[in-house]
Amino acid sequence: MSTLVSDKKSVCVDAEEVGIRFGDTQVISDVSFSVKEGEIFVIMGPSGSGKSVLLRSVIGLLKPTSGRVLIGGLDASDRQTHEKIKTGLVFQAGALFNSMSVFDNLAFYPREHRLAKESDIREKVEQALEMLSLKEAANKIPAELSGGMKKRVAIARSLVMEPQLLLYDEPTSELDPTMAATISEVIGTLREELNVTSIVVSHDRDLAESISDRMILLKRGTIRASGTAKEVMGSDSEEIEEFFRPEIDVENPRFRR
Amino acid sequence: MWNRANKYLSDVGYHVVLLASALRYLPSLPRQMNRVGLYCFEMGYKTFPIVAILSFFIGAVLALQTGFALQQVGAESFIGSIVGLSLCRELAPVMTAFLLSGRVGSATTAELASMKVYQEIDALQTMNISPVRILVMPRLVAAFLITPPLTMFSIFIGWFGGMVVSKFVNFISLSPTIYWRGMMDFLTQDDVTDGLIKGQIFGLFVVLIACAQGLNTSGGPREIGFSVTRSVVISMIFILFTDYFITQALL
Ligand SMILES: Nc1ncnc2c1ncn2[C@@H]1O[C@H](COP(=O)(O)OP(=O)(O)O)[C@@H](O)[C@H]1O
Ligand SMILES: [Mg+2]
Repeated sequence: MSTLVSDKKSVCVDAEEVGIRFGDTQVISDVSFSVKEGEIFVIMGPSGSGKSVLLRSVIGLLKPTSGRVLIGGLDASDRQTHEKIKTGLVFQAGALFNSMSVFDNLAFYPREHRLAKESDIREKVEQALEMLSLKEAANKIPAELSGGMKKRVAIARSLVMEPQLLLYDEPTSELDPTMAATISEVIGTLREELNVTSIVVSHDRDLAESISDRMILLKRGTIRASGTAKEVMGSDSEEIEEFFRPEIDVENPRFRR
Repeated sequence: MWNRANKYLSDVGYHVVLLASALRYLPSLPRQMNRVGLYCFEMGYKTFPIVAILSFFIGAVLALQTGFALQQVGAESFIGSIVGLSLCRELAPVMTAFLLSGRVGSATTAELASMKVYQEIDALQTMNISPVRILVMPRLVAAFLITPPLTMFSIFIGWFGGMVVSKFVNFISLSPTIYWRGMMDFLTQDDVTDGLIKGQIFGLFVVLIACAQGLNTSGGPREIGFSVTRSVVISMIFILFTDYFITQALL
């Protein structure tokens, strides 16, 4: 683990009245939250509630239509912010480089930025692979991996970047319960040992309960509840059940081509 | 109508911006020579065989057509000059660019479009690695380097095809010596260089269009196919359209 430890401090994240619109659809409206240094912050919400879009605005892939997101006090939509503060995003579908082996996927960031000697990079990659029990997959290409393995590779690839802020988009979906437990353990370990600030998007209630310091519930792009997992989940179980009911209009389904 | 014109202009603008930002990353070229080498190899390897076959037959059929016309007035000795000139000034560069678009441009668009759709491009951005720097710039440089030899090769094979037909087709039966002398009397070095420059410009733009169409893809996997088609069609229109103006400029 030792070489995976970054010497940089973790950072805080502040979303200030963030609104995001695509054309005429308001996907996120008036979302504000703040994540403290080294905290694990969970964003929960049903499918289509705008969780991924919100994460994209934190990582700087998308500029909010209104409001702003600050990382360590700097504007997240500014590319330079992400050059000063190391941020990583574990994509929902992995977003692995399909033409490269798992090993090369992990080594890509340090190699491209010439961060270390090749032998040190290899060592660091080996460690990350070990941590997510991916040793035997090192020489496979992403197409040969199962959904759960891709997810772990995506996490390992972000680890190698030694981020100060790490965002996870549904890290445990598509995983079996054992692997999901491993992942939540990994998220915890990273915080313990590296003091990484983490934002975890999920609709897995167990995950939220086991790892979150604080959380918000998001529905149709607005915050419906916030607080610790106990406060949010314990409040009114019927309301929570209602909350997680999928948003499908059975009477009048619409299919988009 | 106005919308379409607007869309067209913004498309052109996108290509210009892409080219400009690729040029901005030229200083990172020394670090990326292995990528350039790889793309050169890919472009050459994929395109050489088909360029050879097509050039041979274009040269051959050109000799056949002109041979048939010229032998009626007893002017067969001009076959060499006609085949030689039209191949190097016009047919070889245009055909090489077409084949480059079909073989390399389409594959490039498909690759970049798939990287876009499956968020690999986004992943690069979150890693502070510019997609233009590592995906576009080395490809443009490779196209710049590989198209002149490719065009040259096409010219030679075409000339050779013309010679074979001139010699072995009964009603022409022109000796290779006369064929080559007819060609060399007429051709200047400029004719060849102009052809190579043309090929280079075409090749550069074929690859630029391919990259732009790939990176500009959005939506689902279906869009990958659309982008590939669009890339090849736009390239071909561009080649024939600019061919006229480049020719005029080089005359
Ligand atoms: N690039 C985009 N253009 C238009 N609409 C989008 C875009 N990205 C996401 N959306 C819409 O925003 C909404 C929220 O999407 P998303 O954040 O992916 O939901 P989830 O909470 O499941 O991650 C969806 O209705 C989706 O259709
Ligand atoms: Mg999502």
